[in-house]
Amino acid sequence: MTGLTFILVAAAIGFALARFTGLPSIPLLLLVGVGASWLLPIDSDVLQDMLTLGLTVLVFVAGLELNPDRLKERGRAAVTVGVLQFFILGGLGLGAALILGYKLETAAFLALALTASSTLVVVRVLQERQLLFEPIGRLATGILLMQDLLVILFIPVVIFLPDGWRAVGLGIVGTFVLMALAAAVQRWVAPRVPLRIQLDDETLLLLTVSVLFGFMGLAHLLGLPLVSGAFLAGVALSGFPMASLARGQVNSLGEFFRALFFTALGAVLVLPGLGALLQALVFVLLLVVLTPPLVAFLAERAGFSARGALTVGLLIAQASEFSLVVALQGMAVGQISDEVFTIIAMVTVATMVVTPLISRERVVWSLLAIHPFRSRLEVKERPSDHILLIGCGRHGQALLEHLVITRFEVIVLDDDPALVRRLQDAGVPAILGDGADPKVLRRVGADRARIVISTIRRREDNGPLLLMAEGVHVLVRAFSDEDAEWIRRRGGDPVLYSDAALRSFQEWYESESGFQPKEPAA
Amino acid sequence: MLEQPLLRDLGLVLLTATFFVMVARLVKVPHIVAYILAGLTLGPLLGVVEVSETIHIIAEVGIILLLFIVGLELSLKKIKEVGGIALGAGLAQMTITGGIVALVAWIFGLSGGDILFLGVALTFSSTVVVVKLLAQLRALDSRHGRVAVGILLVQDLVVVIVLTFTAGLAGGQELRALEVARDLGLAFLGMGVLLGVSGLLAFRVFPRLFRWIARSQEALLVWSLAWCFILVLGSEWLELSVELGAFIAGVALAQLPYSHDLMRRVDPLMNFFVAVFFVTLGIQMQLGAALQVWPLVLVLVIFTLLAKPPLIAWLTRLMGEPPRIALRSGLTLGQTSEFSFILAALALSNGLIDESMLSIVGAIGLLTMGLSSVSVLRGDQLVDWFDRRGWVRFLTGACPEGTDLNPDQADESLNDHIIVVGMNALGRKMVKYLSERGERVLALDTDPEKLEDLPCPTLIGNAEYLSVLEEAKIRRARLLISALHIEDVNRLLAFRAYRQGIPSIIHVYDHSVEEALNALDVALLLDSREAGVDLMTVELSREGIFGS
Repeated sequence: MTGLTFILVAAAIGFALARFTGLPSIPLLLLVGVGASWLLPIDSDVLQDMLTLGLTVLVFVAGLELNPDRLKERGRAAVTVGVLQFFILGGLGLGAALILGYKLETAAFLALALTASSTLVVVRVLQERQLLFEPIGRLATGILLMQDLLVILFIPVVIFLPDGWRAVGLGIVGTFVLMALAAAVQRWVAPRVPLRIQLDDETLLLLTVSVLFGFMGLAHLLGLPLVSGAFLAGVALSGFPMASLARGQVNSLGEFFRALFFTALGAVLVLPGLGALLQALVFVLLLVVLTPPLVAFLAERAGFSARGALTVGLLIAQASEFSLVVALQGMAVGQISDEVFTIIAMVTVATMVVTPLISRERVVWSLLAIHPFRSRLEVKERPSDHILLIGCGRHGQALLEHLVITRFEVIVLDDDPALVRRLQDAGVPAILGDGADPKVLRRVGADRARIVISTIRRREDNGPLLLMAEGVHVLVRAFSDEDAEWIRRRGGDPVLYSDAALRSFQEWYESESGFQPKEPAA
Repeated sequence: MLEQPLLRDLGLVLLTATFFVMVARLVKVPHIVAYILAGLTLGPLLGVVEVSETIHIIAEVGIILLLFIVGLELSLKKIKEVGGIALGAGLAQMTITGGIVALVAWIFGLSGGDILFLGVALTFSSTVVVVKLLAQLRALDSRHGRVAVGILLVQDLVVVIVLTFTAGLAGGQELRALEVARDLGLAFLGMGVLLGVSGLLAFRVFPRLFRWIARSQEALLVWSLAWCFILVLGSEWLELSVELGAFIAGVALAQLPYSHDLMRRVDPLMNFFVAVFFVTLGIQMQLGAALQVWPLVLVLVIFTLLAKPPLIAWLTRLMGEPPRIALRSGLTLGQTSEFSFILAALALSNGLIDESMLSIVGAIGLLTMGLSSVSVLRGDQLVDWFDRRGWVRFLTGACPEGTDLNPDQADESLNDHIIVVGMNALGRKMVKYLSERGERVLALDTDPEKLEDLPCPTLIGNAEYLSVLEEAKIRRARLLISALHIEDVNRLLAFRAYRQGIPSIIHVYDHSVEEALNALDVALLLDSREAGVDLMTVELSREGIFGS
């Protein structure tokens, strides 16, 4: 009890520091953990148990978030990108480790530890930016799923490498068996259970946890690491509605054990020497510098916008909780040393921390400037009496279909190279440029158009347009009343999407027999 | 592989518990019974699991979290309301029950020490069972729930006294009165310190401190739990019970605006740990000796199950509670307490009793805990049954119809209403429109700021949780609308509405979810993007763009 309390208090301090400094919590938890172990030696059994339970829950929660169904249309892209990135990065990591002088068994662990991106970090960032169900969110989670599956597949390989190929083969076969079971449960069993049985919270929790331990038990029987079972148990439950129901129950468990885990991890870390620090830096650079361009390239080829592809690349440029899993496994079988473990831990924490920073919109924006695409279309003279469509993302594209059949010339302005290239390939006059830049706007004749339609997301970015296009009818997409008012005040004509949606609701409400309008309140 | 005995033991405990719970659901037996049976199977029957140190800690954490939740639920005001009743009824009940048990033991020919021990050990009711079941029924806040919890807290205070006494009796029959008195004094002083410190922090420090940290949900949870465990450690150090410490920790946070949300989030944690607790209870039972004196055990079990509730009901009635409340409180408390095991273990290690007593206490405890859970869960129905047979009258004298208003009457204002989730621009407009049309509307959002300036009742909460939807009285609603931008939650809401058999309207902006939502019989999909594009084209045609 004392040990638990101590770690909890340490975690609380870690969170306080995070809140105070604005830095992410994970590295601070680690730091506090390190500090705590100096101050007071904590029973190492207690720490071990916390690490075990914590990692199990962490990996389980990761699996829960990775629903294979979510891939849907973009499935092939995710698989391709995920697999290629895994092998390319893994290969580079292996090479780097061998060059640094590690023997094959250890290098294999290091390489494997670098290949998995973190569900914990990526999903959280996507949720915060409400991108989880956008196409790039689906791509990112699809890639994560692929990577995690590959890591699970390769863990027996690196563990059994010293024991010979037969052991490796058995391990792989066992893993496939477990995966098949998880897929079967995910597809056929889990969706039916909540529909057939009325599950109260407690039973739901018990079932969820039982699936977790059941899979771990099976993994043990098959001679596989327990974490494989934990992850696949999560995937088994990741379908709808099981995942949403389970998440509600498992969330607090996850948060609790996650806090304990990272603090306890700090408490067991061995302080690294300078050499270890430098090596960690090498691997960090490898991850952060090489992943984004690689993934961005592959994603763009698969049909994503340049911005989206680059965002995904930056988002997944980190090591993950799986890296820690791999490292702990390595320590358990004696194939990596304390120091290597610390290196992997440092790389993991450093890259996890850096991700939210480097995947910010501003960074993506500035990196887009060095995108190799050069527009083949140059506007000779300033167009006039045309329809100017600014922003051709999903909102714009829906409109474009209607616009190209009119008698007017349609010119599209967008700042995404890949989108513009695709439009040009399809024969639509598209210009690459920033819709908030007056020079660009002048070049595309924003002040001489018949009508301008803006689907720019941020209302402030419409400012220059509204200023310059006085006298021209400018339709601007808006969702909230405040945005509409802002636009109106600057001479624009807001099209309120919320009003539009309300109108369809009103139509439905007034026509539905069960919902006859009542007498208005007196 | 990582050979992890902890995971193996924990896995067996949880898998067995789940199995028994699923079976128990079929025959409508309470979960607690299932857990205990699971423990009995794993321990005494099959002998496959032994309670290791960590599992023991996990079990203890269950009790701690349970009492923490109780504290969060009850504010000081509520405690004061039932304080007097609980004190009076509780003390009287303990004396009388203790006396009767001692009498029974004497009739069965037990020795003096054993008589005294049984009388003391079996007089308490089980905080863990009662609180857990009340929480499950969401009845912690009801009148009878508060009375029951009040009595249990009074008992907890007496527990402290008893524990101190027993510790002071170590190694023989001599009662070093002065030492014991000193220890008692220290214990109460300690309690005073704990209460004082908590009170100070709760009113001066916590409001601002927690508001600062509450930006991150995760941090809030960890902080609250850290505070709870600090207090638990403190009470352990001061030789008080951990239950008291956890409870005080909860009360200290009860008046913060996040207390409800905290409760919801600690609930799954608590369920997990408490399940382990009950199973370990079963595992550690040694019932052999109890079987040999089964008549004694039987009599005491019957007494606890059948005589204790009416006694408590009568005493509560004497203290001024309405008959129904009194009866339900009594029915809730008809079992012995896990404390009896703790006391027995302590007394055994101090050489005051022998192992057979431990076994007897264990058997009585398990049986009464398990069987009384039925009367807690069915309390309402039981009281109705008694009422129809006129048995309630013995408590009241003639009780004319209608004067016995049940203060637990549910809130009737939310009925046949429309729930709108997500107060973004669309949500707010729908709420205003529907209110103008005379509909009863409830607006639901996690952000209090978004719920301002609305012409209808509002509820702060996360619609992902079933408990929030139940608070919104989803069962009595006629329509559920979600204006949220979050696909996951929308899908879950559609599912919940589908399960409740009410129509739902869901905001979508991506056609890929259409198929899934149609499978859930969604009445209308509000595609704001499509609608927006339509509106745009209307505008454009008004401009004459679409013409020849």
